[in-house]
Amino acid sequence: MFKSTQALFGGLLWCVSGPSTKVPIIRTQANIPSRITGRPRGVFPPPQKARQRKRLRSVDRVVDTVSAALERNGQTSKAVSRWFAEMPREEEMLPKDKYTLFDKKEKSYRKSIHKLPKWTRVSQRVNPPGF
Amino acid sequence: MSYFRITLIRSAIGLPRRSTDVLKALGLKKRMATVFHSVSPSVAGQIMKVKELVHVEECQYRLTKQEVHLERKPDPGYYIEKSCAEQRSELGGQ
Repeated sequence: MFKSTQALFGGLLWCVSGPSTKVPIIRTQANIPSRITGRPRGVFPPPQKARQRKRLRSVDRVVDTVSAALERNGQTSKAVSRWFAEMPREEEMLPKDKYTLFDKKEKSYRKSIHKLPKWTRVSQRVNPPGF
Repeated sequence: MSYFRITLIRSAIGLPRRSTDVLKALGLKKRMATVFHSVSPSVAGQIMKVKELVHVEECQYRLTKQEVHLERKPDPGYYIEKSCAEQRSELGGQ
């Protein structure tokens, strides 16, 4: 018998309309896996990290295309030049910065990047000064 | 004169309102939609706002919506040797 205790729910929000439709509707902050890689670790490298690198490279490619097109027309853009001045490219980044980000509330001051809301659609590349 | 060919790859659902507004300003209403804009700093700035969501190429010509659609049309697997009208005119000539 399924009892709707706090422990069984495990922090998930459930559809409570009927027993057949008990599917998690929202993944809350508490239920994001602690590691991006998952456990137990398989023999192959985890694809989430490969996709993260792919996304970083695709953003690099977009900025490169825009910059090259502007240069060919003899124009400049503040947003593009600022990006090149401030942001590292994917190949220049440390693995630490690719897969984790600074968080003052964590013991080690780092948390996994997949804890960042909308992490597949935002650019998070640099640390605060001194970290 | 060159153009940016901008394709929306990822949707802006759940992102800040401003991302959606920038996409609207660029004319991107749904995923995989393609628009053409002439290369200029203002368009470049707009692309930079949504760089995680789009794929950008530089091209020399602005294509119409139909031409973009035809690029994706698969090969029909046959070719027309002769049309009916041609065949009829040949038969009529004999």
